Amino acid sequence: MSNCLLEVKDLVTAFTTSKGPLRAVDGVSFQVNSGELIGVVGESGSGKSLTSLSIMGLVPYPGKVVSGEIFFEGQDLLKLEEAEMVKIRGKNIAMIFQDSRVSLDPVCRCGEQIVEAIRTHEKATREEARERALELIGLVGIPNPARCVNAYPHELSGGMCQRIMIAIALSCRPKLLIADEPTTALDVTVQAQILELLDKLRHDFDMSVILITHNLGVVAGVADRIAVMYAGQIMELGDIGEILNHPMHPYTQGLIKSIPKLEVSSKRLYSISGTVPALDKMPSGCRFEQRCPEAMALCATVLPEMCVLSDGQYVCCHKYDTWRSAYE
Amino acid sequence: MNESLLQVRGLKKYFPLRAGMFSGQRGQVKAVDGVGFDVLRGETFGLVGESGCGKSTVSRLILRLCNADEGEVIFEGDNLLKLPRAAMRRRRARMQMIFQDPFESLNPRMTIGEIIAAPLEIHKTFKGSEKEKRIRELLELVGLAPDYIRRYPHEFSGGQRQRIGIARAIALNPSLVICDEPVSALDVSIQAQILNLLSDIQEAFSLTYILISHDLSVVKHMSDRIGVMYLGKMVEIAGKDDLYTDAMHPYTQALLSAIPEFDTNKKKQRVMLKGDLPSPIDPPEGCRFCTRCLQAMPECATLEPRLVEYKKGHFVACHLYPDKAAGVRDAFMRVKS
Repeated sequence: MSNCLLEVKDLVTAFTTSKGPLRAVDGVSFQVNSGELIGVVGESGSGKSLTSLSIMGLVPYPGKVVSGEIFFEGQDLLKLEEAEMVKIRGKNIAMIFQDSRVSLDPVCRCGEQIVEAIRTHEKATREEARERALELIGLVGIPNPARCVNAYPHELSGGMCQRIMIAIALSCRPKLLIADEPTTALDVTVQAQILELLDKLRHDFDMSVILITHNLGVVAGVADRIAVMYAGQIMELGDIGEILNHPMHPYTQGLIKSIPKLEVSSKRLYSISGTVPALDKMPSGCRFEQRCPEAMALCATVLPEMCVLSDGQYVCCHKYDTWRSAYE
Repeated sequence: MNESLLQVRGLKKYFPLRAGMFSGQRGQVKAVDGVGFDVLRGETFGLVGESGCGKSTVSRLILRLCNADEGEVIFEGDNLLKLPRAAMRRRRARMQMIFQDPFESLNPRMTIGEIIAAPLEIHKTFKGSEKEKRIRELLELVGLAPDYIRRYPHEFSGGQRQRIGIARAIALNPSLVICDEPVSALDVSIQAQILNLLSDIQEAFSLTYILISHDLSVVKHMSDRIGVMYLGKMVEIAGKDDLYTDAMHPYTQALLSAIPEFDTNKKKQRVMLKGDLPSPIDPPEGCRFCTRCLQAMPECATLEPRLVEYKKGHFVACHLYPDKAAGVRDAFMRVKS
C-alpha cells in the first residue's frame, strides 16, 4: 500500500439549487495505488460518476466541489489553476465515458481524433502522431487499423467505438484511467472483450484504473479492490474477494443477495425494500437507515463513521462500532 | 399445462432499405428470418440474444404492432396474421406488453388513473365507478398506494413507473404478457423487486410470459424454457437447466461464458468471441454465425443449418450436430433414385 497514486480525502461536491446546496457526493475518501484497478460500484444517483468528474475537474454547473482534497502524485488537484489542470487532464489522467458514440466527434475521422489528443499534449509532427495513432488502434485490438484510421465513428460498431475511445485515452500514456461505465451500452460478448482489454492494457501500460459501474459482476473479474457507494457516500471499501464473499455492510449484503445467480435457482429473489432517498430529503443519520433490515435507533440520528475492520477493509455502519474500539 | 398457447412458425420480417426519398429499394434488413417456437400455457419463455438479433421485432410481430412478411402466429387457435382488424383488436385484450423504458412508455400528460384506464375504456370492460374500483385494485396489486390514481408519472421513480406499466398490462386479464427488457433500465436493488412482482402476478393470474432480455442471469431466474437468437435466426431452444448446463450451439456457449462471473474464486475459461455482429443487411451465407464461430467447418459457410430437435425438448441449429432427419431423408432419396 506504499505507492499511492491518487488520494481523495473528504470530497464534498454539491449542486446549488433553489432548495439550497444538495450534497451529491458527501465525504468520500479513498486511495488508488499505482497499477491497481479499483471498482466503484453503486446505483444511479449514488455519486459515483460525480466523484470521477470531481477528480477530473469537470463537474458540470451548477455543481461545485465544496471541500476536500484530491492528491495526485502529491499535488492537490483542487488547488490547481485551470491552465495547469488542462495539462494534467488527458495526459496524466484520462477518462472514457459510457456512450462512446456520443463522446466521439461524428464529423471527424477516428484517426484524426487520436492525433488531436497526442498533439495537444506532446510536441509531435502530424506524421509521427499519425503513426502512433495507427499503432494504438492496433493495440486496442481493432483488426484492420489502416482502414479504421480513416473511418468515421458512425461506420464502426459500438464495441469498436469504445476501443477508439480507449485508444484516445491511452494516447499520452496516462498514469490513471477513469472508465465510467465503459461496457454498459455494449452486448455481453463485446463487454467481455472490452473488460479483458482494459485488464491487459493496465498491465502493459502500468497504469491505475478506476472502473465505475453499477454491475457487481463486471468488477468481480477484473478489480483488485472495490468501493461500494450509496447516496453519495462510500459504504464499504476493501479487497474485492473479501467484500463479495463476506460483505459486512447491510447494503452490500442486500445488493449481492438481490442479484439473480446462475448457479442457484430459487423461486424468489431477495429484494431491498424502498428506494434511494431524494437528495433534498437525506436523513441526518445513516443514509441507508430507512431501507436497512438491521437499523437501530442510533442509525436514524447519528451518521456512522468509516471504521477499519482489518487491514484495508473499511465499512461505514453502526453495527461495527464496537469493532472499531477493539481494533484501536 | 403442456398445451401450447402460442405457436410461431416461419416468421419473417424484412425491412426495406431506401437510399433517398425517390430512389428505389437498395436492399433489405433481414431482421427476423424464419423464426419458429412454441410457448406453452403458464410458462415463461425467455428470448435472449445480442442487440440487433431481432428479439424485439419478434415480439412486435406477434402482437402485430408491425406486419410480418411471412409466417404464422397461432394464438389460442387462430392465426393472428390473418385476422381482420376488428377481430385482432379484440384479441389484443388477451395479449399485452410491458416495455423497457418506464420513462418513455407512460404518457407524461396523463394521470396514473387515466393511463391504467385506457385499456379498460378501449375494450369497454369496466365503466364508471366500477372502473375506478378496478384501477385502485390494480394499483394495490402491483404494490402502489391506491391514492396515486390522480398523480402524474413524473412524480414516480423508475421502479414505481415500471409497476404502473405492469398494472396497465394486466388490467384486461390477458393470458399472454410480453415483457421486453422489463428491468434493464432499473437499478439492481429495484430489479429484484420488479422480478418478484412479475413472478407473483404470474402465479396469481396464471399468466404466460415471453421474457426478452439481454441479461442471461435474469432470464435464467425467470424462465422455464429459453430461445437463443442470432441475427434474425433462432439458434437454440432448450429448457432452462438444459441450456445452462449443456449448451450445444457454439454461440450459446460463448454467450454463457461471457457473463461476468460473480464469484472471484472461480476463474472460468472464457470462450472469447472475436469481432462484432455482422450486419443484418448482408448476413453471411450458410450459418449466420460462421464468421465468428470458433468451430466453423467448411460447410458452415455455404449450407444453412436447420433447427432440429437433437434431444427431447432441446433444439439446435448447427452443423456440429448432424441433422438426423435430413440424413434419413437423403438416404431415402438416394434409394429412390
